[in-house]
Amino acid sequence: MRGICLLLVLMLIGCASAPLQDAVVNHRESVQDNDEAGLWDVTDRAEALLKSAPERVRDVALQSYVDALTCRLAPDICGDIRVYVLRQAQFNAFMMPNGVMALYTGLLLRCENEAQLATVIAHELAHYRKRHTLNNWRRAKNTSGWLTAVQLMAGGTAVGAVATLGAYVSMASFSRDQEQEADTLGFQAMVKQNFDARAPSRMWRNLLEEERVNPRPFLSGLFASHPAPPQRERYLSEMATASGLALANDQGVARFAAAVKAHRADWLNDELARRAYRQSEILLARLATLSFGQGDVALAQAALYRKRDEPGDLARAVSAYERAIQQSDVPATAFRDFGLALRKSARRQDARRAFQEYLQRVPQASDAAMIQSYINEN
Amino acid sequence: MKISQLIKTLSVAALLLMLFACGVAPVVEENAVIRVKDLSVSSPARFSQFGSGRERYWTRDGLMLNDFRIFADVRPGESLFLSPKGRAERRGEGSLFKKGMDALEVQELFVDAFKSLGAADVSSENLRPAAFGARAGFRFDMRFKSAGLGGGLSYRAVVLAEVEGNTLSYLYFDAPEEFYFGRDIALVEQMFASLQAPK
Repeated sequence: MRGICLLLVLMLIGCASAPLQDAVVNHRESVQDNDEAGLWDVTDRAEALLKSAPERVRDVALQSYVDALTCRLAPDICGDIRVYVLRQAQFNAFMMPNGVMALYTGLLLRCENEAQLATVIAHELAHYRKRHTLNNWRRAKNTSGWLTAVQLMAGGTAVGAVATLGAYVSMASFSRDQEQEADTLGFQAMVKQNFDARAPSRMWRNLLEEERVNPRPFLSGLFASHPAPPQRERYLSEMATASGLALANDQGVARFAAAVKAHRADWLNDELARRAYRQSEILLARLATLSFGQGDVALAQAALYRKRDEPGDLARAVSAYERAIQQSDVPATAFRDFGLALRKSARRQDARRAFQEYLQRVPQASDAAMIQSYINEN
Repeated sequence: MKISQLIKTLSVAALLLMLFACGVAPVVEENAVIRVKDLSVSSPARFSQFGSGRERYWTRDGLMLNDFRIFADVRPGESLFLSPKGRAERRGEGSLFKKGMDALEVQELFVDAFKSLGAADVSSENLRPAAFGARAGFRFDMRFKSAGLGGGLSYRAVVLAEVEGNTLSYLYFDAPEEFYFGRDIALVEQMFASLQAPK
């Protein structure tokens, strides 16, 4: 009897740990397993709601860009993948088992080039290929949180996006081995497409710099997962060295800069809206060293100092605005905000001139009456 | 967010909803005058009221449908909505009112706070000087969308505020653009006009 029980237990263990076949082209058609069919059903319903979510960035050019990059990294299965760009300030991305990939704009803001974006997309595609979520789904079914996750993903509640998507992300919190496998396969996929092999380790190094000043991880669920970021940065760096391709490969800076140009100012504003000054300061200092978008970044630095308003910040803000307004395509509001920083610095005459410049550029500004009241101050 | 955290959050939300459903919210009768610190506002209609101390919430049909708030004497270092300080706020970050903020910065603080709370497509316009009782104040309008899967409901909001010394006080109203805002805005304007804030 004991032997039979042992045999049954061994069979069960074997069943639970049976390796999954990789997802193939048009994987949806081959799904027969009840667990996986259920998972696809729930994620299909979540996708239907995602399509109309207000956070979704609806920009044909940006969409074409991320779709094309996805297809470059996975030409065989890209017909099964739908990429959604979501306006969220966090650095995050996730992959649903039904082929939905979500990229947060906080991630796009932090990428320095196409190679770094390719790093994330290739990583997520590896989770899809290896069907990692299915394992997690089966595991989650044995926890009390499963029902909650299903209800949230089915979208039948009034809970906000962060909670809804967070439910998914928490369920999709992959194991150490799964993350490492996705890192490795993702690395191979991007290098195969001639992307800079140093991009993944560089990206993790950048994120670590930001995260060091934040005692509570904000940047992403990626940080909540294993392996630990320093270890991840190290082995990705070792992969780059071992690949021997590190110096000759494509970074795609110009392509990336063109794709995000129209949105970068908005994403920077979203970052500043968090009022997480220490982290944003590190991010902006890094973005200021890039070869594109420096005008937007200078304005964001000025706004950060103005909003933080710690000792010395007003002088920093004024100096940053002075640099920013030299740009040819500076928005009119830069003069208003410059005036604000000058006014708070007790430079009334200079403030008045900046406010007048603002009203001259936008005579019909909806805040004209308020600005005029500042101009009229003694 | 871990599933355990999510369950805790939902449990707290469910408890709060049950509490509201108990009918404990007192009613503010028409023409009643409500005092919040040194501010007083008269009610042109019957409202349910929540809150105490320096904050009051009034609603006719539920806070998701019409949400009128009075906040008095928000001090430097306090959250715009007087919410408890989290880790970020204790470090001087987050949506905190700061000493010396002026009208433009208060408007900006509202926009940032709404974004941080998860609202989408947040914008503000029409900042202009306005009387805050007997004091010099300002007002502005906001638009945003409820967030989330199945979200996207458009809201409009109006804010009447003043910074006196080092404190911020304000009256705030939001409602869905569809039906509720248009129905209630005249009442809100009456409440704004009824505000008594001594010099």
